[in-house]
Amino acid sequence: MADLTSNFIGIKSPNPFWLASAPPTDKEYNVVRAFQAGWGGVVWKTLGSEGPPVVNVNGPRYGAIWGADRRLLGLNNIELITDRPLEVNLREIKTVKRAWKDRALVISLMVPCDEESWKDILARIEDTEADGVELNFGCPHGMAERGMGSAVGQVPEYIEMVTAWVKKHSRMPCIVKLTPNITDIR
Amino acid sequence: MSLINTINSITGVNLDSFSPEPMIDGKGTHGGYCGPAVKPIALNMVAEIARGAETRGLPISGIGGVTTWRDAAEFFALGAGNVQVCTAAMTYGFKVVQEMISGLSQYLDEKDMTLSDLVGRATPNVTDWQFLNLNYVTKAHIDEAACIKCGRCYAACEDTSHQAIAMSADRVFSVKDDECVACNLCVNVCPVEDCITMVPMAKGAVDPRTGLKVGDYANWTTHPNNPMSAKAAE
Repeated sequence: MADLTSNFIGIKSPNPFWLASAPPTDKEYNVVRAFQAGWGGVVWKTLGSEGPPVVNVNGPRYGAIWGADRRLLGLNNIELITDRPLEVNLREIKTVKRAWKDRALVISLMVPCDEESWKDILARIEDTEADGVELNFGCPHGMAERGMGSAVGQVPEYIEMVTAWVKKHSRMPCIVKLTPNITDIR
Repeated sequence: MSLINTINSITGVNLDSFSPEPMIDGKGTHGGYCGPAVKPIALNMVAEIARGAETRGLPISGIGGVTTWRDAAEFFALGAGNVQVCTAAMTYGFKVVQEMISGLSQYLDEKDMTLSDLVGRATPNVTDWQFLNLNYVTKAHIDEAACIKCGRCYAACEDTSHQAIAMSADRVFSVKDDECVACNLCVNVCPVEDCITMVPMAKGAVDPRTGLKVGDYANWTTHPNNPMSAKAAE
């Protein structure tokens, strides 16, 4: 059996397969089951600032494209960032990280585009002992309308500014998640 | 960095209610597209980052349609240090990772490679169009024994490509080498895997389509038809 251990920007995991920030990584129950199944790491579904969480639609969140054999080829979703209170997520993250020290646990973040908001959330993230943060600059909804997510991700200067704040206010490894909804990814 | 996030999309339109899918009370909005369908877009963007003058060397976490170990290995080969997965887990459950782990492990053992040997292994082979070898000449070849005589290659080539496939009265299909430009469309539409293959011509052989000998590596930058190369020569 080949050695699959992975070290990504200083974040170690037993294999290079992480679950992406998305509905499956929104809560302790799912993440624990994922770790039990063998996933090397997870990026916890995007957290927002303190305060009343966003609300999701109460009808279908997913649309799909199927091949001729009805195998799922593409999925689209209109679910927003986490709709659970910040404190609940932070508490669960801390519990999971303590129980699964060998797995990578990265937290996806999306907060308003001002330095104070990033400073505040980073302090609370560090307290969970998570391994790093991923900056969500690509979520198509909910936040773009308020100057966050893909609204920021389409302006390279904003990404640079926010990333600098994160590096200034935290020593955690930081992953910048890029949106493909642009014309030149470089 | 990690990429790609989801792509703005509408997956379909209900032709009775005339609402985009997914539909909420008769209305719809664009959502984030992901899953196997976006993998080619993600692979290209990972490659562009991995080889870009300003971005090469930056750690990349690859995201976009990874469903099998093979998909993951492709992301690694183009420069991703790890991969992130969602749709495959949502489709098949969390245990799908076990096949990814065992498959990747077996592949690396078979190739006698480490995971870090694999990362970026294909990156140097991603190039710009103008550097592709114009003297790499191939011709389609149809394996008559494997052919099910469906005629899809013939229809595709005759109607929309270079009229390079002949059909006999008893439906035997053969390639006309003097017409075949090696476009690959017949391979792409053939329902039988490996029935049609592209066979490279040997160096020095004469291409019956152009009458030219297959020569050494030469690309567009030095081609006589390239106005830029002519200018450079002056």
